[in-house]
Amino acid sequence: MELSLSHASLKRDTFHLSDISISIGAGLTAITGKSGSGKTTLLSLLAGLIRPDEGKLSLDGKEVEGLLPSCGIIFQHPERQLFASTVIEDVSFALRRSGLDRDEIVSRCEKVLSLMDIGKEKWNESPFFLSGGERRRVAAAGVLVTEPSFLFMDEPTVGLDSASYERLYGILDSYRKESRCVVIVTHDQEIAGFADRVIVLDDGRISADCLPSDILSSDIVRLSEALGIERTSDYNKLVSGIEAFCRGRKWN
Amino acid sequence: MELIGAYKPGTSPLHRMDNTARIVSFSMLFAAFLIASGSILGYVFSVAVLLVLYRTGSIPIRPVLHSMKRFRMFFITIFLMNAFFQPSENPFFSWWILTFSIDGIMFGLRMVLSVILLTSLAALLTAVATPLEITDGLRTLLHPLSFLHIPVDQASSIISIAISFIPVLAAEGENITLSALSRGAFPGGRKLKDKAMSLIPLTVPLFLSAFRRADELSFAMEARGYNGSIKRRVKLSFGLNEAVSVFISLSILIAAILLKGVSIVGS
Amino acid sequence: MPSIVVDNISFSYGRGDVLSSLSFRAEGSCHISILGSNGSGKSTLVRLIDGLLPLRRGDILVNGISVKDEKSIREIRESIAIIFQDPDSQFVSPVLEEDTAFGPENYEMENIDQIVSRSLSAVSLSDFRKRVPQTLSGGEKERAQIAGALAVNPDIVLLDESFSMLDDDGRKEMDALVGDIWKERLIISITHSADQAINSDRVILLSGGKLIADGSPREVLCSVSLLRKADVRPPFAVRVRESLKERGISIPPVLTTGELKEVLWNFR
Repeated sequence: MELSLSHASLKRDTFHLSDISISIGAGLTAITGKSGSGKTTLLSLLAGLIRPDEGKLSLDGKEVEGLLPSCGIIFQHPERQLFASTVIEDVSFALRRSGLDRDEIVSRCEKVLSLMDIGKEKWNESPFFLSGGERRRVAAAGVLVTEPSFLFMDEPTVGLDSASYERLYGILDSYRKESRCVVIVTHDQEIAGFADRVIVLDDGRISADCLPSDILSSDIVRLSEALGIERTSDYNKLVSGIEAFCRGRKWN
Repeated sequence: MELIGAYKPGTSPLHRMDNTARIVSFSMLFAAFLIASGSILGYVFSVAVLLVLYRTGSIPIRPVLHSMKRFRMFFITIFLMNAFFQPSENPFFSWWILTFSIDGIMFGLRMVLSVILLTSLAALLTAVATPLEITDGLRTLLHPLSFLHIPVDQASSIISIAISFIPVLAAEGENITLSALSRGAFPGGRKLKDKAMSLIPLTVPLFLSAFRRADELSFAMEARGYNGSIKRRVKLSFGLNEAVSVFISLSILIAAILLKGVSIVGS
Repeated sequence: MPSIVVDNISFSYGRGDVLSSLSFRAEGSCHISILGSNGSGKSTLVRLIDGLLPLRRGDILVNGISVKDEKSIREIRESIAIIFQDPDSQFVSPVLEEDTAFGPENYEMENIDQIVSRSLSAVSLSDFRKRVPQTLSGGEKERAQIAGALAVNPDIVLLDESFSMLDDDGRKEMDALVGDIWKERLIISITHSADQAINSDRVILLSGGKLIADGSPREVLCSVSLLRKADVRPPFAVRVRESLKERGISIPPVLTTGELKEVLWNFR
């Protein structure tokens, strides 16, 4: 499964993308770069939502016409896209066009709403009466319910509370294990550090495409370097490294 | 395909004018064009002035005239409506309420020409000034009306703020649209009702967004001391540039009046 | 000396209490962080302090004046400047210098032109004074908000998740700017991020509309149990310490990454 953007260019009033060529496969890819550098638009290009002025999008060698099949995209402030009269109606929206039968739809919605910790009593309420955090989770549920092979997220960690952050980690982890393709635009160093690959966008071009530990200078990376343990950008690996470090010290 | 009179940023004297002086000048020019229409000399005069103005603003006039081709049905209608209803001494033929004569043809043509002239002038205004600049000019101009307790300042502030929200809501609308598209929205359906319903994933969030922002803005305004009465300071930057342009516009207006006088006397 | 006294307030929008029996005092020149997750009531608190929402239960005194005193609300608002979260929803004029002048005009201050010039130059936006604020970049918009707040010369500055739309570097820059401009005033920052609260003088932790902690950053942010209750992610160093604890390694409490490094180097 390989998604490729080749020589894509796009010009807008406030930014531009020039000659972007990327291939994305299974696993977690993080895209970082300064605010306003066109990262969100890059996501839309990859999902086939918008067409580049030049260049093309292909999946496994074949050009993609229109929307990328089996893709889900969660923009910033996802709660702003809610529109239905009940939670379950909003979450099931994407599935109702897909030809699945009613029971399957209901069971998928229930599964994802439980994952998002939205209590059963709320499923028939209007999404607009939920709290801010709950609305956000309902909106995300509406995308995840399609179980997309390609998942795109734009700054998913902004304003996220602790439980949701852990939930996000869990989702990313399970998607990775299921060999799906996840592309996240983020400035959060920990999430980027958790990715398999980091692409840095600078002034409309790709300035780096490498392992997170090579490029990031987060607290995690710097601490691992300072302690002389294996350089890493991944939180769990850091903790393991520190654990070994400490035990080593104790026995000396 | 460009819209007629879409804003083109620039540094011409027309672009750089004070907003109010610009509105005053253009108002006088509109009046001048209206008055001058009626005689051949008047039309020639108007066309000449128009070309000079476009040149001053560094705005190409050809695209504007070219885009008027789209409205040819409209012009044809105006022509016909005026050509066939003009009373005349020696018509080509006359039937019921319709009178077709050379006078009618001339009148019809003059009407069309007037419309083209006035539209071109309006297109020039919107090409050298953004909607906000135009609103600002109008606001200062109408400010004296606020002494009559007409809420000019409030109204123009409302309009300005609404206009400045357009790009913000448009950007959000784009995101909402893309989001809905990715969830399979908008194939539409055949019936009008279905098409309308299919827009709900776009319209509901957009309305809510507009209300939310209005709410936030009203909090911000109150927090900054707004108490319902806007006493905006009226700032006119009236320099040499502005004085010259108002003077020129006034001269054009007077010339138009004189021309009219001449043509009336002449006939 | 600026002061805010929150006295046993409760507030509801109609479906349950968003704030419940909340009390605290803040005085003098210091930087307080009010920390809590979504729905903890922190934004509501900001609006109540400025009299933007009607308070019926309890009272809030700003510089000794009650927010329930309708005649004096203007005086309260004059001494407070609020920078809300989304800059796009706060610009009141399509010309930057007019937006900056909005506050001073409403309060009928003198020498407004001078005030506006000084405010814009303090945030390095003098060259942008005729621009349409919505066309500025994210960082520039935030600085425009700061200019507007600066222009009214407030005693008290409330930052309601103000710079959360910027990336880390941008936010650090804004925090430094704010700290510099208003170092003699009372600054209250509302935030959901414990990392951002580390450098303040005092941290008030809210959870479900109730105050569950009030103390120094060290006291509040090192307590994993309190933060968990408030659904706030602990600072990085605190999380690492907790993770190590789960694996049987015990280190003394730390707040910053620097301290964590020191402690680990000296680990025996």
